[in-house]
Amino acid sequence: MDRQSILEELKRVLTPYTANKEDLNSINDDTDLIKDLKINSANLIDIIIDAEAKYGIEIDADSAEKMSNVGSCINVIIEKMQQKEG
Amino acid sequence: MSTGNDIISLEHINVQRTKQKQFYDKILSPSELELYNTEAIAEMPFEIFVWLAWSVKESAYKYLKRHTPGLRFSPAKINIHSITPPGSYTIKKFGYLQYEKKSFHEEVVYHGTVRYGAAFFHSSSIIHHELIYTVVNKDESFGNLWWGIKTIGFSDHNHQSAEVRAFLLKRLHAILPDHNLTIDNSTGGFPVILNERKEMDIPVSFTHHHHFIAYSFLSGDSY
Repeated sequence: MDRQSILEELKRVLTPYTANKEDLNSINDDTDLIKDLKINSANLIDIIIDAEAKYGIEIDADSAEKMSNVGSCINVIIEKMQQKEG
Repeated sequence: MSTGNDIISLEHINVQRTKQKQFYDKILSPSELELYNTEAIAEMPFEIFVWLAWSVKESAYKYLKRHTPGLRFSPAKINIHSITPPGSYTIKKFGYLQYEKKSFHEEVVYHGTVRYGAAFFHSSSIIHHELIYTVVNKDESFGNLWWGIKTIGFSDHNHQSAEVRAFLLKRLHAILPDHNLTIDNSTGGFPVILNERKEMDIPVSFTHHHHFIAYSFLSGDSY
């Protein structure tokens, strides 16, 4: 699965927690979940669990800590999918 | 000196999800889960315990971030060592449109101790039907700690942000009437108080969740 496909799916994961849904139309690797999408920190665990369910992966604390922007979320998802397949 | 606070609107937590092991395992370590087994704490609904722990950890993170720019929030790396309840678990309605205090002396407080690496903190949390609110501090007494909670009409981010700044400025103007105070954001991602554009030594923390906003700040000994 390429980055663009994961990005499109990630948008769907982020949608329920993003106050202004239109902000998701212009996201890129540098988009910060809290600063740019105004996602409340209380929803960060929800996003990790939704991503785990969508991709059948497990995201540990060290990886979860890195998931501050869209690019780092995609990196962690790719890394965990590769570990699962490997 | 620093401060960190956090508020949770309990109307907006997902109770079912909070009770799932997959969820709370990302917040609580096995030793922290053990705290729930102590008699007085176990009277509390489990989802309240989980969000109380979250609130303590997020407050500690905000405290630390002032001195550690670039720090990322990882609840598993902030360890709660103790939570001491005020007595049996009896929860009342918050019942205020806004509420401001210096210290927690008159409150029914859950005291906690928290560690991040070598750093050690005390936490004070209040729990009502509608909310959990926590402040983390170095000083166990919280004697120079001001805090305030306000209910607002709209929960969009820009409104929350503007309201919490106005709420704090009103309090600061009341205690420092001769100052020309404004609030700015530091490059480190935390708010700073300016007097005539010069940064003051008043650490401040903001928090908001849905229709609740809150601040905490440390005052000098003279005010």
